[in-house]
Amino acid sequence: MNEYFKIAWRNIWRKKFRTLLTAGVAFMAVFLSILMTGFQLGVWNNIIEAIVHSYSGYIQIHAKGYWDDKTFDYSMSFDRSFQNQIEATEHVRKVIPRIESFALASAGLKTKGVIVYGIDPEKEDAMTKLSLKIAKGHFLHTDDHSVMISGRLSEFLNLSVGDTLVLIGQGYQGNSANGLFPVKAIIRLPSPEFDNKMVYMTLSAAQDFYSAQGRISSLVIDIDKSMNMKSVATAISDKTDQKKYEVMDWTEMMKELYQQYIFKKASEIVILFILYLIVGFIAFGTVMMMTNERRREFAIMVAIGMRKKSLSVLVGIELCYIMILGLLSGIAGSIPILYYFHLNPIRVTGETATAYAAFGIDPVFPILWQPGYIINQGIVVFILIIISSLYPLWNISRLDVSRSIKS
Amino acid sequence: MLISLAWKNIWRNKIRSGIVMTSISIGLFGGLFICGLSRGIIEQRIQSAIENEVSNIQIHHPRFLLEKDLEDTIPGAYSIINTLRNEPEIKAVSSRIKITGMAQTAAKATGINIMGIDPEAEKKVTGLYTFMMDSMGTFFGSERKNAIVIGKKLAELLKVKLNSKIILTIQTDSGEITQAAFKITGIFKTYNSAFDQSTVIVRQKDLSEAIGFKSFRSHEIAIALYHDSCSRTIINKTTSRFSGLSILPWRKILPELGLMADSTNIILYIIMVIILIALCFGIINTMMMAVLERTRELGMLMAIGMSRYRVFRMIVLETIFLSVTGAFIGLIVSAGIINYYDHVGFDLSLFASGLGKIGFNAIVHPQLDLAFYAGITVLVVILGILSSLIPAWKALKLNPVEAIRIV
Amino acid sequence: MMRIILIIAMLCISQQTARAQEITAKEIVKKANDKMEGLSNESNMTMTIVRPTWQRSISLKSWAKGKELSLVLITDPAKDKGQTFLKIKNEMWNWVPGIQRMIKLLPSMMSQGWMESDYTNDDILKESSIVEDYVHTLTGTEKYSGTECYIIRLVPKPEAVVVWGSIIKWISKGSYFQLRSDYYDEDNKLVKTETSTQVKMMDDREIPTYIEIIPADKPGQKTTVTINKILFNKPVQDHFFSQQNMKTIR
Repeated sequence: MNEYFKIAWRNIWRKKFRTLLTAGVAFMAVFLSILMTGFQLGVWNNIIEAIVHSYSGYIQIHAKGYWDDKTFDYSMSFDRSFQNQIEATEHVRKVIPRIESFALASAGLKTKGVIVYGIDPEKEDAMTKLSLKIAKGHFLHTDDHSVMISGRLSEFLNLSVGDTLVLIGQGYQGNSANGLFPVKAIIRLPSPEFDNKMVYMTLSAAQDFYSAQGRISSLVIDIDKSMNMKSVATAISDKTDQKKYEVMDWTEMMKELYQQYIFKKASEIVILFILYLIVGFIAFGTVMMMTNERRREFAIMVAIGMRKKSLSVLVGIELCYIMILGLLSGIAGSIPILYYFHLNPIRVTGETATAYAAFGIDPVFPILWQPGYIINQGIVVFILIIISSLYPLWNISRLDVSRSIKS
Repeated sequence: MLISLAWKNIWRNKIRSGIVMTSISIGLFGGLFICGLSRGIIEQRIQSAIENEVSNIQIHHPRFLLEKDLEDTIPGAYSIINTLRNEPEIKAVSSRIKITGMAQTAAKATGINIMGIDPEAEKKVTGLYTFMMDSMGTFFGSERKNAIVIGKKLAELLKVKLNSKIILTIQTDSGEITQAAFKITGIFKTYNSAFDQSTVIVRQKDLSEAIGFKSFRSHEIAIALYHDSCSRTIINKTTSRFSGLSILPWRKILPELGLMADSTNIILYIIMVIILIALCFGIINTMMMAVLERTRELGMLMAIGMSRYRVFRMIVLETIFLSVTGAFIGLIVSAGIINYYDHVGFDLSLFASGLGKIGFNAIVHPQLDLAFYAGITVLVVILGILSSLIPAWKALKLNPVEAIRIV
Repeated sequence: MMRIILIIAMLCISQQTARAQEITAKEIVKKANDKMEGLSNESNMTMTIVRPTWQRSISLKSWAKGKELSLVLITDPAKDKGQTFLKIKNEMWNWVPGIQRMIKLLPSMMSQGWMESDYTNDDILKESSIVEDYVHTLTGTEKYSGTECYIIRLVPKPEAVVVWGSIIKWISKGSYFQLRSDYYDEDNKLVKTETSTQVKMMDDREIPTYIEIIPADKPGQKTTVTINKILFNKPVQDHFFSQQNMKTIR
């Protein structure tokens, strides 16, 4: 058996051109599938990451029942040690406390229902890059008693930086909430729905306003890499009392976005399958033609005594060498291209670019710079090519020796 | 003569030719199917949004979108509607009253959006009436006064069902607060649970009466076009005829949707490039293999006097025939398959486990118009021909003497 | 002959009794209602909101004239002191001294209970009338809390703007106190119970001064109102109920 490996190796280098041609199929197959997957994953990651970061964050912890009824009855106590515990979990970058509730905003004769966010300005900005969306004024600092309001809200209420906003609401445990707040900044949010009704203040200002000292609505968890989300969520669930708290990820909190994401994923899988189909067939064709071309050579070997089965095995091993060579060079070849696009991603232009920018998404079509899918594709393509080669190899056993020699 | 020779050559080696033609067919099919699928997905999403959420064009009082004030009704709505109904490009027009209020039952009270419509006109413009749940009433089938239709989520929240009573509290035209009793005559369930929870629908007549409007008033005019492409024309016409209105196409109302559509198109180009590269490679590869295989035969031809140039032309002709035939077959098969799925619907949920659970419409109808078919087919044929040049050139370099000796 | 006269006489008598019954049910409710309202009243009350994990008390002064005018001033706790609510016919305002704002109440602001209590805004708006919008039936009598009561069943008229499917009231005989009211939804499920006890002499009449509203399916939750002092039919001008007065009243 060992002999076969040696013979196969020598064989493939006898006819360099043919070997290269066949290896070329493997090269192309893996090269293209890596490129395709790289783009598919990259583009989506870009969009999801930007949107998730600016709104819900990847994971949130709330008091149980909060998500269905966002009132203070379902708030949680703000516990430093608890927060530190969560922050210590692997892959967790930061834990960001938030208060989220409703209120009535009023200025002059106009009143409007708004959503109030009580935030830790530094931590919040680190994750959501909210400060980049400031149109006028300055971002909050830790001890601020001012508010930042969204663009359309400021237009509706006719308020600019320096004016006073009146907020009235229902606080914790039935306390009424009312207060006057100077407007420190105007923030432009891309989604018109939110731009209509957002008011930001510091966490402590919100706690005072709602008479909810020591309480928060949610802990937002920022993680280092999106792919770690599920493991972090599980780790956190294990650390927390399941009866008191609920741990949710963005797929549950932003259902609409998730729907679209899954939908796209499904269609991308279809597209990948089609690529495999094409590649698989080309591999089939190439191997078929290669074995065809060597008919005479095979026939002679059988004639001088080699069993057909052994021949198949031999050719199979040759094929394996060639394919592996092709695969490895394909992977090696794809890496510099991926790297190039990693540093110089394709830029989106025109209307799409403005829309992207408005949503806080980087206006590029990037490639995912991670080893995972590269190796995956290598393995998949290898299996694909093996399967495509099975028929031609089996065909060898049907070789009509005498006719082949004569041809 | 060269032509008939080339043609006969193709059919001499059926396996080889078959492989090349099939590669081209599959490549073509792959490209077309992917394009069809992607466009089908986006078109469907857009159509669905247009049909059920935004319509092609919406008209409002310019302040209305910002403030949603009861008083900001469209000036001259009646004449606008009549004028629009006479436009040939316009399929249907509907007018709505939109206010906020409170819905109350024995169990609970909650803020809601109230839409007052004319059922007959509305059915022509939106598909909302198709989302009525089975045995949960009808979309204003009965003539009953003060009928109301609500979403399933809201019915659950308020703990009511068909024929239950709901009290609506609203603000009147003169600034007072009034209440009116409505009876649930239908319950709907759409893909958007946020909509289901926040919106109730009543007859325009009933709502207008409760509000105390003395004449026909409208907050929103929705226009359904036969073809969305006429949107610009209609908007321009209407803007020049009636001043002081906000007239928006769906793209401006739902920027996120436009964003998705544009991104998809660009990604599609990238994918097509990749697929076509795969195809080219495959063709070059197989043709090279073919040349290799035919070394003896070609050498023979050159030995008996055929000039290299003519050998070159012969191979090119062969490739042309193969490409065209392959493309032709591919076109027929593709058209057949795409049409089949266009009719029956391609079920994406097979490819992503999450889809079915979400309740999202996972059945896609691939769509392709003639221009696309033609464009891609021509592209594939040209590529096929260009790809043949390299192997043909290789053939030129054959040394006839050596070639004949090939064993 | 005698027989016929006897039968006719009996028919007449039973008719009388039947009619007498019908008037009585509605009349009973009307009397009970008027007892608590009078033509106008001025009162001093404490409302306590009880929840499983917390409790809060609010003290308030209230003035009312007929069904259309009412003014409420909050006197305790300190954070809410000085807030006033005004209702004129179908319009409602809220004055918040802390932020010097007059807010006109819109329907969308009214979904949580008034001051987060178990009183709904329905109760506050008093759009519907316990007397006018229902069909009343006397279904019997019973001893409730040691007192003989009429049991009256109220069913809203079809077009009435009322959320209830039906209400059962226990109204004491003679004194016409609404000792207990059970509120049912359209599916005949009990939603809340209102009881009134601690009858005391207030101004010119005896009335129950302690009212409890208990939601049926929320354990540990209720709202109680204690009437500390109430004066009936003290003359009050219409212009007392004004936005200016909201800001200055103490």
